[in-house]
Amino acid sequence: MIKVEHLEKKFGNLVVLKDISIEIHKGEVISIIGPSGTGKSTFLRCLNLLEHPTNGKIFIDEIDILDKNTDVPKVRQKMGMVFQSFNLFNHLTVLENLTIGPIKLLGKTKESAEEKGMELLKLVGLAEKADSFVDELSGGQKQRVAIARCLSMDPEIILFDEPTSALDPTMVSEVLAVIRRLAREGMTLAIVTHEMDFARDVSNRVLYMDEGIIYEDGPPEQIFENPQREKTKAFINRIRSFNYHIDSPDFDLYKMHAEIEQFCEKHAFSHKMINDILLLVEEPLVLYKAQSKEMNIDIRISYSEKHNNVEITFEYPKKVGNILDNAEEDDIGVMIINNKAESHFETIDDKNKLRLTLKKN
Amino acid sequence: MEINEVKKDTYNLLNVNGRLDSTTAPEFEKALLNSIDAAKENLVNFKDLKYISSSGLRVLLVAAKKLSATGKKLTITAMQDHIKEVFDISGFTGLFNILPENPYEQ
Repeated sequence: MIKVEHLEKKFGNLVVLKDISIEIHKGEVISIIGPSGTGKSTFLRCLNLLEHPTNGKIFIDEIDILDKNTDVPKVRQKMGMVFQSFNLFNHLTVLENLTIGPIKLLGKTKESAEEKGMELLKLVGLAEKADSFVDELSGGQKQRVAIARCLSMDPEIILFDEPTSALDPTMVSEVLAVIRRLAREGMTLAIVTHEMDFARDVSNRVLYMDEGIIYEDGPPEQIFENPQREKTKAFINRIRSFNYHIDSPDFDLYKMHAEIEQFCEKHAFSHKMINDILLLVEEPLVLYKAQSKEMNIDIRISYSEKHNNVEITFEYPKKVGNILDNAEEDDIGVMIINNKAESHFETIDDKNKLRLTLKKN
Repeated sequence: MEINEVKKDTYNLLNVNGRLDSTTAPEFEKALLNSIDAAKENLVNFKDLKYISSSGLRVLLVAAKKLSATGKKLTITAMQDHIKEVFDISGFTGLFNILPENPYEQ
């Protein structure tokens, strides 16, 4: 239904979308998630040419919409869009908001447009507001009218650009309920959202966008339960991380400890937890120093808010081996590490990775 | 780390303040071994010790060996809970005379 090939969008020198290729099929409900500023909304706006792509191709039902001979307004009618800020006509009544498009663009009669409009207002639970003005509605009601207005144009797909972001939390569920209903009825939907639980239950495909690309694309079970790629994992598990690189045996332990403490305090770790983390960073480094003259180590402390756990990983050249196994079993440092953490060692390509997961008391 | 040494007729006291880690352990080792050389009864007061790693414990192990050879005595006092925990994990609690408070503190 929609095919995007090597889509790129720049604003001046800022590259927002780097290289996006994707196919959206009829009946799919796609949630687009990811950190702010990674191009999710821009991607959606490029699909219906609210933003003009810098490079790449977009085909809607095999019509190249970037071809200068394409009748863009006609192709655009196949796509409805629901915005964060509703974009309704405030000087018209609710019903007029729903009928103006069908009458002016689709050539429908006033009667048939009103009949369809009332049907759609019933669908979104707002039939009794047909004669109200937009300003008299709450945010949640406005957004439901915006969805009904989209449907009045008989679109083949609806693009939702953060439809609940501007709403009071109490109004989010009424809008999500309407979107859920559309999904159940087989409508093709692409939804940019920060509502993770909603994205998980409503969609059959999730795109995780980061760095201007579709970083991971998969069913919700994969993206939410078992993300395959590093950044998706960090986003889904709400992981906060601290990285430190050591490239000399004479590294500044105080500077590193001070930065770790700062990171830990920022996330309100207990005094004991901070002490344990400092030990779990220092002890492996002492072992390492005893086993290798050179030091070239990447340390990463990751804290998952979702699972409330802390992992410390040491990545270093393969030739050094497993620093825990190579040490004496009764080494004091090894005893401390084994008491405070579960360890996991693996070799990937030419790197060793020692991962310590802080035990919960 | 700061070490404040108090010399008395009958004992030597080291007040250790701050962090005892791989960077500061050599300084602590020097001070502790000198103290043991000088006095028969030695006290290390850890009341203001904020952090100890295996490097600090290794210094105490070296001291323990020296003490057993000479028949001198080392008492560690006033450890905070998280410091005591590191002693327990490493089996150090049984190696030293550990007191909750410094017996000579006024």
